[in-house]
Amino acid sequence: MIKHLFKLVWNRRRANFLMIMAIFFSFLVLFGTISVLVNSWQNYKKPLGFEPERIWYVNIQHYQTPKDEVRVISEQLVRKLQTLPEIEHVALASGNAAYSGWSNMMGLTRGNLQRGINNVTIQGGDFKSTMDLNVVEGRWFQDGDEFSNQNPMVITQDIKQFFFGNESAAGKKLKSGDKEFTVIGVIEAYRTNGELNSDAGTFMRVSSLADTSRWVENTLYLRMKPGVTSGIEEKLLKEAGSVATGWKLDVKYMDQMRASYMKENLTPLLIFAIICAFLILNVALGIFGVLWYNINKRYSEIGLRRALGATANQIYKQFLGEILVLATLGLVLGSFFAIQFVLLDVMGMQPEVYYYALGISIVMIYLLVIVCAFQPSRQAAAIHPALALHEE
Amino acid sequence: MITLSDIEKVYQTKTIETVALQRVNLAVPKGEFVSIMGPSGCGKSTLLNIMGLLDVPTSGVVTIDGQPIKSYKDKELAHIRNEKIGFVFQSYHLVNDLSVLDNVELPLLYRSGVSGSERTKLAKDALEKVGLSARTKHFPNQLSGGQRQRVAIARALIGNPAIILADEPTGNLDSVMGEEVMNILLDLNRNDGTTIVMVTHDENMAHKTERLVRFFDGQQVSDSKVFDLQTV
Repeated sequence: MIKHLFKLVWNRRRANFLMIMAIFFSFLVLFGTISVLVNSWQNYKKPLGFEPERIWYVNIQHYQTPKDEVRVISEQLVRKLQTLPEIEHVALASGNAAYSGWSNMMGLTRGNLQRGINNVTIQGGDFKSTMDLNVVEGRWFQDGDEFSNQNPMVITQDIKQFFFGNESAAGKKLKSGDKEFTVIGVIEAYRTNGELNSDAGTFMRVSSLADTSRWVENTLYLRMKPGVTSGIEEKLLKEAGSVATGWKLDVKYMDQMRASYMKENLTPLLIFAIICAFLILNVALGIFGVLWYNINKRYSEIGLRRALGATANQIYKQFLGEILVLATLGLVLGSFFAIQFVLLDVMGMQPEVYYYALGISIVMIYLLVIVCAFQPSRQAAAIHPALALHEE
Repeated sequence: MITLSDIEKVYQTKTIETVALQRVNLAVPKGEFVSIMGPSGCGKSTLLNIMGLLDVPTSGVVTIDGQPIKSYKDKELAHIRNEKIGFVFQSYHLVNDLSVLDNVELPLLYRSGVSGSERTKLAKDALEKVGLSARTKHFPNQLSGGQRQRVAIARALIGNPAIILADEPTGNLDSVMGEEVMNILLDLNRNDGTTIVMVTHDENMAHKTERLVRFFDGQQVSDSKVFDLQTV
């Protein structure tokens, strides 16, 4: 019977061409949308590595203050902020945090392995407690590390996996150009591209404000105590101004930064999904229309098949089967192109994302086709054979 | 072979009740070639539909091979149609999107236990019987009316049915083609012993069969042996 269905669809290929094309294009759009959704979902499920709630991200502009004074004032500012009762923890570090739009990449190598990695420099305060980082191997930085000639570094778990696999990373070396770093610890994650995007991994290092060979980092991270509201901002700026006269402190709330990041990333996804839904609706209506038309046009064929021994159920299965064959042809064509996405890595995602998207898209198209074909096929099955045979 | 006992068929709408068949009693023994005649609307096709289990009578019983067909389910009726009855229609009812061979194979698609290769072999045999073995790959719209009807006959006989019900099989054909088709039916009846019930408007064709039953206004008005057959 399956061969018979393929034969029928093939012999009606001209009439079926547009429907196959509609299924093909819908499948491709669906595949693209689902790939992005699956990729975003997989990223979303991974640990962010830090807790953005109650974090204030403060960008400092030093204006004309001489460099040596900046170092001193920055240290005083961190100390001052640590004394405020509303603040739980303070850190001074590079500004390439999640949702900031900043990145600072550095190439790291180990033997033949090399990778561009986000680089966070911590210059004061307690960055681990401020960001609520989770050390899973080795240790976090301690006093004196900033002066160590071993160049201690803390890496995220995906970087550890990339360079060291399942081995322990603590004590092992990574190079950046001529400079050699020693891994002292591994943190679960620190995703600077946010939860919806893939991440290159991060390594962290410490430097002293006294080290004149390095510039002074200009971002303060403040972990506020629970219940502290934005109303405290004025007081905070006043207290900071008492130490850092003439500096400008621009306060952003990380939860708000996160909200706008989510909006920016989810809006195109939503638009894409709506377009996709319209296309799918179009295909659904097309299938519905084609089937109604087919049934009315093939009234006498239905009667004939009943006369030749087909049961009502077999007629139902035949019409459903024909539309499934049509869908299969569209999907085979679509899958051929979709697999090129995987082979050429068009969207820069993990291969498994494409395979999931391929599977989900195929199942969705088949479900759509079955749902749309259900009622017309039932109607075909209910046609009275004696009446149908008198239709011309 | 087929017995109709007190068959009545009434079509009822909200306002009109139409009696298509009234108290029809007809027995067609095995191997007989019966023709049914009557003016349009006298119930011939309704009778054939009831005999072919495509329609159910309002009252009365249809018996096929001694088996009264009453309260049968769709699946059982379909099985009897497939195994025991072959249909030939005035307008051929071929599927235009299938080749001649595929059209002839159709009844066996609904019969379990017949392999694809067996279907093809039987279809080729059936087409040879009606003289169309050279047209297996043609499509219906590439054939003449007579050829199409021969394809329809091949389709009717592929399943080796005991009964063929033919509804005006020569109605759309010219006299030469009509003769050809009629001769095939006569051969089937004489050589294979197939029981044939044929509805026709053509007195000449009817007189080639063994028995002629006439209908008028849903009632059986005559039933007589046709002796011409012996002289054909």
